Amino acid sequence: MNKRPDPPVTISVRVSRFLFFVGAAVVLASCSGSRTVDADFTAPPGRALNKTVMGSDVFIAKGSTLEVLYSSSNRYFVEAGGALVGFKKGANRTKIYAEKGALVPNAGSQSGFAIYTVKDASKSYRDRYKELLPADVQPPNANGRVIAPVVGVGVGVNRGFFGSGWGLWGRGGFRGGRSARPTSVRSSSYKRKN
Amino acid sequence: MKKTLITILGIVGLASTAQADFMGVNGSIMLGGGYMEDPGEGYGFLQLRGTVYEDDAFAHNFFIEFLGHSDDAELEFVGRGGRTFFEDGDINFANFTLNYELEAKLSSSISFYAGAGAGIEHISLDDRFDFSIDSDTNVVGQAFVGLRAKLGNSFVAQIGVRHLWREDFSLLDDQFLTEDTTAYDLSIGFRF
Repeated sequence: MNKRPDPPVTISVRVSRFLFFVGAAVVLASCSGSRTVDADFTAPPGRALNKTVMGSDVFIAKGSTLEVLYSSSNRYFVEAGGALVGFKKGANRTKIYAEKGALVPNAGSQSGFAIYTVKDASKSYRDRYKELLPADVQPPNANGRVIAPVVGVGVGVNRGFFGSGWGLWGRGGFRGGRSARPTSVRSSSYKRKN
Repeated sequence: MKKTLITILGIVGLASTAQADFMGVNGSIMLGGGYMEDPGEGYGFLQLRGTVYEDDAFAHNFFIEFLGHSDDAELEFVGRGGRTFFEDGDINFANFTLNYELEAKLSSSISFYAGAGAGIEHISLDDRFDFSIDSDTNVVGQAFVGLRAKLGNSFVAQIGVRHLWREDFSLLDDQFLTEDTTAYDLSIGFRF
């Protein structure tokens, strides 16, 4: 039996539908990408962004506002005059290092994050790999709402100050929430054997 | 076992030095510092000394020496999320040695000395809060020569060269290479 070819109108409708779905998928993908942050970044000054942030270190400078929809495993560093707001969809394993004068969420009304006061947020941000706990590491007795002062760039962990040279980090069972023991050591003067 | 040995060595040294004067053995305390070639690090030392025999030409001396130096370290941690981060630390080296020294008097105030000793090198790794992370203990040996000058009846000053034989050490799961090295030091002492 011979099959009759589709009329040109039918073909054009199918092509249009195909192009519509491809276009919609591209638009959807691009939109979701722009609303999700999963890499370290600095919030641009003077702009309010509406983001879902995951697994990132974010620096919020003076004059910048970052509105977060949902936050998971992040560290925020907020200068005085900067603002970190939102969390409408909640927060999980989130740490906020804020200078006095920074606008940050009320730790008493929301769970899932800890707030630490730092003297210099930009320095804390620069030294974050050396000085601070990873975002997904929680100090003991932290029930999700922790407010602690910090000396220098160190982190207050309920009962101690890293910067002042004493506290649980270096003296007992709690080793700052990092892995209990370093995995490796490098010496500045002695070479390691292969 | 190694810690016990270090403790015994220290106690014997301190006790023998403290009793030296009472047993007719002249004692002295020497404090100094120096520079070792490999690694290029400064060090400090304290010697608790006793002279078991002395005449116009020679003296036989024994001493316990505590010699230490330090090196910067970088500790690597892996967080639960798999993120690697680093922290500053220190590696401290403390040598505890028992030494014999022959002193040849060149004049009434200048003498030449040479000797050798052996003991233990204790290596400890601390984090930035001086919390001990790991340690290792090895055997160390040294030979030394130098010139000593009397400064009055109670004080001496000396300049010397020593050669150190050290073993490789291990911290965490990392093995580190050490090279035998020559070191140069200056010290002053008090005789009692």
